[in-house]
Amino acid sequence: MRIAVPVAAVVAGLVAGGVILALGGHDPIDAYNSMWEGSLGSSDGIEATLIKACPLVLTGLAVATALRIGLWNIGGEGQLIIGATAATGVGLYATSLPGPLVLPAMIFAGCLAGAMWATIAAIPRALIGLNEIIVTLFLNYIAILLMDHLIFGPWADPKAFGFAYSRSLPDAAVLPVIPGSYVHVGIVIAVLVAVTCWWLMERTPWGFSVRVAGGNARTAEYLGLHISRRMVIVLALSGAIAGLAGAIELTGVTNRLQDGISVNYGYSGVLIAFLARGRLLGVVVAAFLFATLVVGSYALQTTGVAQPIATIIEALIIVFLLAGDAALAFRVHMTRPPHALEPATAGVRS
Amino acid sequence: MLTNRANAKAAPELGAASEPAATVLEVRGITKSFGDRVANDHVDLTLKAGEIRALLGENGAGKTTLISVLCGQYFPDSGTVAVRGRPLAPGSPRAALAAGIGVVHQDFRLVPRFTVTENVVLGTESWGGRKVEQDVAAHAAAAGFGLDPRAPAWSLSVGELQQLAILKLLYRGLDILILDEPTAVLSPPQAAELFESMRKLAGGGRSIIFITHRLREVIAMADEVTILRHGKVVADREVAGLDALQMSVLMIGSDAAAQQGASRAGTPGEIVLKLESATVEGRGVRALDRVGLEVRRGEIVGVAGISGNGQNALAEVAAGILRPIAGSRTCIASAVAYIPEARLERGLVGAMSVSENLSLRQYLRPTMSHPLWIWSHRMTSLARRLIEAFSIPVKNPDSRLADLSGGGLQRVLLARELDEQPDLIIAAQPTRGLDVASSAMVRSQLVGHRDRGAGVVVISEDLDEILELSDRVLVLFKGAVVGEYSRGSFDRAEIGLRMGGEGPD
Repeated sequence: MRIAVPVAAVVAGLVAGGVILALGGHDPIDAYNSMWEGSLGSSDGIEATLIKACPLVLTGLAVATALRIGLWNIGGEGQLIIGATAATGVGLYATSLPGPLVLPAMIFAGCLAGAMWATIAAIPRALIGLNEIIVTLFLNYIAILLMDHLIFGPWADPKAFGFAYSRSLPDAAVLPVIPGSYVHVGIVIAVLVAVTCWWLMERTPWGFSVRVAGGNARTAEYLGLHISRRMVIVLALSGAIAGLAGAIELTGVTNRLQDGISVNYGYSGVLIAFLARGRLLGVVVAAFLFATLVVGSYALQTTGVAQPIATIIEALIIVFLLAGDAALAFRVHMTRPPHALEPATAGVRS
Repeated sequence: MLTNRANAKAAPELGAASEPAATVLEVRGITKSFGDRVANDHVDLTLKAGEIRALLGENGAGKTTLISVLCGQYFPDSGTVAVRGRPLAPGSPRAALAAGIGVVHQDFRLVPRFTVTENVVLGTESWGGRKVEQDVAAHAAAAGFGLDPRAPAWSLSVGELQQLAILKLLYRGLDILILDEPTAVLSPPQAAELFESMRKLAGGGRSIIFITHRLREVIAMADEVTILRHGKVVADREVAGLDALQMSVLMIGSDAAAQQGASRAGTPGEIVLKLESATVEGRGVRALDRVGLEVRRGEIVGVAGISGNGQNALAEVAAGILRPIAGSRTCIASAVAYIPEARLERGLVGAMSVSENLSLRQYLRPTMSHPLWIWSHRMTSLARRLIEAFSIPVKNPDSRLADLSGGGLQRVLLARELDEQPDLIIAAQPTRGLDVASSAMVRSQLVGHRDRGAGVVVISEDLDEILELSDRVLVLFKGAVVGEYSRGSFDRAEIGLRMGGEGPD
């Protein structure tokens, strides 16, 4: 059932999407062929999928990690952007750094900035119970505006003719690629981070205590665990992972800070964590699936299918997957009620 | 609706003794299982007009399942229910209501913000108004309830809330009233008042089934009694001529009955826990009021009282989780075991596995983990040992804790807390909701650890349990200790009075 239901969900999503494609005047078979070619059906497609999967694995991990202590980090988007911004700052201004240290310094700055951004939400949550969902969400808008201020103002590229770009980063700030491909090493880092998170949360005593606190705060209190301290640490860790996604996307893909450095990666992370049922290693699988859909939908657009329709198909498959997951919680019984006399009058007498 | 006023037993003053009362409810062969567990096994029950019938049985005997079938909440696997000779459609709450069957649930299911009248008419087609208020007031007066129709439900006492829940049924003209453990939440005077109303209602021709596990109430109130054990009817007869001992033997079986009062006295040693005028306040209410408590090694101190009189605060202060705002706590125990009243909410993590829950006290030990790694196979072997020793009903230590039953949860908690050989054990309502076997295991564990030299505090609403286990008994009322007795001088009647806030003086 655990394999059959998701497969059936994808098929159902494709069938429903096919109806929409047909209504839009496209041949669904051709369309799906190009989706396949563009994502998993060619080496270029696989490379594009791997590149796309990297930020999604990390933002999914950010959400799933925070869930270990029962918090919803909806601020992956802002933490990613603030991480990319901090990394850009280091790349543009720390010119005295020796070449080999530039990348590590940028990545460290990205993680630190993401962690601090999440901590802004974590501290009031831990101290007075202020809802972390609201605060992390609102911090997203602040992060975007801060980035916009920098790329339109002090960091704007004079050669970009008013586009929202920062100046390009030095060559030392470019993430290397996996030999023999165009795929930057970010995906390797992301998978390593996933394994590390899994080990930390599932295989260390500290992670165990975090899961106790997330599973039942009153029991944690009974065992004498400091819940607030763990909340701050876990949410900071979650923010650092999202910030890392920002630094990697910057150094591996865009090479400058720009509007749209995140294509809703932070929000997609919530969906991915949900699809993975909060499991840390499951996030890797869910993120790859998600990346395949996103890349496939780009490929669809190159064949003349309008972008909204491509996005609808992507969304349909995800909705079916989530519905299938919810349906797994139920078991259907078919029974016939014994011959029952319906009450002649079911009204209330008084 | 009041078709049958001939009720000789409950209202002899009517002088209609010659006419036998008509059967209003006839239950035949009801069977209902949940998975492998048979909750009701061919249960028969008859109820006559004007009769008060007690449904007696331990927790898990099948009482609640039976009433859920009667009121249409559960669909029985087999069997029939007939009301005045007409078959009742199974599994239909509407049909049950239309046939005149109404239930007062333990939690009353009222809307606190609504007034008495609004709560009464909720679910009918009426929405209140002056005339309805008068109508409600008239119904209340007829039943002997002093309820103000305009009072909001949140302002009522527990006894009044219960009256309101009963009034709701009366207003609808229901005449088969089922009360689910109606006295569980009441003080003795409130219970006496309830019994008076029940007699009045039965005298008016209504029939009442009330669920209880208090033998005294059966003798005091019921005409007939049906006793359930493990889902089967083991007795169905008149109360007259039965005494409490006979009933308890029927209810819990002869083995368990023989154990009553069988626990030996302990041999008290040094003091392990001492509370001196411990006071706890929350939301302006004084939960604990200058409580003094001394617990010695090798003794069981029982704390009797009706729940809500500071038991929770006392347990948490004694366990060292809650700090009193005044007074002191001295504890020389190196390991304290705490078995909280709310097991799943306070002591366990439902989303984690059985083996993880069993390791909660020990996961930091060097035998179990290293800062960078937990030896999960050692967790599993600890779990296997405890599952075996405490007969925890689970096959796989990795299965989710939340899938266990109440008895299973308590076994997990007990296994974890007692495995460290604690010097002090605080057990709050340790057998609530458990079946006979689990309760007996809990009690023998507590006695065993006392004999080993642990100091034990048992906080329980079940006075029989307190009297059976304790070397000393304290009575808690409104957060204060209002009585203290030692083994040999337990006076059941006096303790009962003190639990209700009264004293012999």
